Amino acid sequence: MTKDQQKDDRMEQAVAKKKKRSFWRMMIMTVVLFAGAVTIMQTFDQAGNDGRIEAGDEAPNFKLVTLDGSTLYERDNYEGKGMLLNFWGTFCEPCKKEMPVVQENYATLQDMGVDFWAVFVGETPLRVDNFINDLGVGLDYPILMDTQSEVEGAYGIYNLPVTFVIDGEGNVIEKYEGELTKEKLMELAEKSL
Amino acid sequence: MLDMKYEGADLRSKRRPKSIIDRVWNFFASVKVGLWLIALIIVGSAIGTIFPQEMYIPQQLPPEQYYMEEYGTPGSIYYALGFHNLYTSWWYIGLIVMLTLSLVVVSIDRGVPLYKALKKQPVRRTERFMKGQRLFGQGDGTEAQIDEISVALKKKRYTVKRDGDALLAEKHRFGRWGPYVNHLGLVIFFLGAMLRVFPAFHTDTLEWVREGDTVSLEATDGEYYLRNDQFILEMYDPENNEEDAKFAAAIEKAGAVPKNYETELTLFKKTGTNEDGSPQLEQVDVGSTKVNHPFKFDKFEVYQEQYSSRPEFLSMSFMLADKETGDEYGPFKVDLENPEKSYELDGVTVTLKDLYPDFEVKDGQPNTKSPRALNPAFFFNVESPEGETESNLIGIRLNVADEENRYDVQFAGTEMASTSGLRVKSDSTYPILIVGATIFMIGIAMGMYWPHRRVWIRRHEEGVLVAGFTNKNPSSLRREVSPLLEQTGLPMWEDQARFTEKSENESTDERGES
Repeated sequence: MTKDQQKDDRMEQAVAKKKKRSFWRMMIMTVVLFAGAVTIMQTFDQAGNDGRIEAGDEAPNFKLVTLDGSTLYERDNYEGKGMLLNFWGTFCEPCKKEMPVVQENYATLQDMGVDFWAVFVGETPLRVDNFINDLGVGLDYPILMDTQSEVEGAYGIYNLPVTFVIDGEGNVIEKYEGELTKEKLMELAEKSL
Repeated sequence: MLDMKYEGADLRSKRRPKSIIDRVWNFFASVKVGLWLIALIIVGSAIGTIFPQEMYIPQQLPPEQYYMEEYGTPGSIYYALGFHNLYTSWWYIGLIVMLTLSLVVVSIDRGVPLYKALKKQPVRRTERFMKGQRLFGQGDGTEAQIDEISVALKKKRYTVKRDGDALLAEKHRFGRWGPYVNHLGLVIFFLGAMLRVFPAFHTDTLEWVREGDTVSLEATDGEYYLRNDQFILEMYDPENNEEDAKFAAAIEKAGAVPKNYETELTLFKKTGTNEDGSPQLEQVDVGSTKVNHPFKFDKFEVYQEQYSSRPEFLSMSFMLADKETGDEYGPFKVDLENPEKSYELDGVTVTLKDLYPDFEVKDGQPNTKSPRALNPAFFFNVESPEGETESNLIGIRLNVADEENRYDVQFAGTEMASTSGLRVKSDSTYPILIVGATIFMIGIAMGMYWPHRRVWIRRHEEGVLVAGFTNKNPSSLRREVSPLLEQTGLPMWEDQARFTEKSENESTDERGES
């Protein structure tokens, strides 16, 4: 073996060693960073999974009966273009104010292909019936009973009134907390299309 | 003097970087980067204590609203940056991950060359190397003297190696691994902390359960259900309880003092689903949870954490009295959740016209403040057998009726239910955290209490060279070995660092002999 050959051999060995080292470095860093990325993804997953339905979530299904007990409404069976899903209570002052506004514009909404469902939460039908009679305005849109607060729980409701803008595919486009004015109502209806 | 930190070993990260892999490696191998990461984690943790964490704020409001209303703009910034859930915020975990990587890389980068260098260290070192040690001396001496001190050093529990007329005595080399063991412990600890993000390892939810109600436990992913059989709030009672009597004076001063908060529970397991979507439940266990005495099942613990100070009404019963004849009718019971509309009482008909679960008068009108049955009021119509109708508004400390009414509606009893706030927890990461923390402490102890000591002696030209190294507390190495040098008549060493300032231009590249 000549001197040059020995030198070449050593060079080769050095290069092989370096490659091996690079490989291990890469492996170690990849493993740690990958584990970190999975963990961080999980935190994002949970942050969005706090039980409150927000824009971007799918609207949970429910089956509710109207106040007079005559009709069953199921969220996933809805076939219109868009939907405004409203939650309210008799104890909530802005809810009381927005109801006549919704009634006034309900026909327009329907012409647009948008339905308005109003769910009352955790109350007795008796109280709600009296409340609507006292309102002095006949309501044409469906008033749905969530006496056991089950749908309220599924949507994670904190404040009333709240209106979910839901598109034809059943995705929540926006969650609006607060009283509906005519302008707001129309704006939300447009968004649901 | 020589820099002996890593035995003058060739640190991979100190070489000129070539590929991207090397550059990233070198970034994380930097102690400076590691210290910055630690500093950022500390500052982040400190800021996280300025406002309460999300788990400690009231639950009536959504958190973003709570932080905004309670603390203003700083509060909403705090919320937006995720400080309200510090330990699971993406950037905090990101910092922990980077620190973990830094610890792994730095340990491999420094630990491996150090290990190799110490394993292969020669007994005979060069004059330059020995002169570069902190403890160094030279003078006359013979090989016989070196043999003699070899025996003496062995008695002091040194491991002595000989190479002709050269000697290397070494003790507590494993103390040098302290920092690496410590890093390993930290990495395990952080791994455990990261696993807490996954529900399979750690869950923590608060469930509000009213007496008599059964709820699905979110923490168990709906597998288990709990029923609140009874909530118990006991007060210290010095008058009727002998045990408590000895605290009478203190209780008098403090007023009512709670003695026990307890919820009696029944645990169910879901076995299937009924056609209407309701769960089929099978009773698994009965027990109770008190403060500090959780109810345990599977890997979960149920803690008594809160209770609602105002119990809700489930039902109210009434009697009807005929003022003219003195006849009494009833009692009849009104279920507050699902009330009947009319009640037949021997010819007298009571009709429930309205029901206000949380009664108030607003703008002169009866109203309800909330849907919770905290202060119920009832609007009744009473129809006599003759067909005359009277009306009554009756509630707690409230009875609005016409003076001339024939019938008087009176309370006859109530059924109430307390609501208990139970925290359901599971944490399988404790063993990992404990193992990590233990290894961490072992590493610290190794590095702190077992200094690595080495003594080199060799003949050089006509005399003898003596050098000593320790990574901690050189004066105790001197105290240990100097008397031996004196006894055997070998040249005494001097502490070279004692009187000379470390020169500024001492290059870190100086690595002793290669």
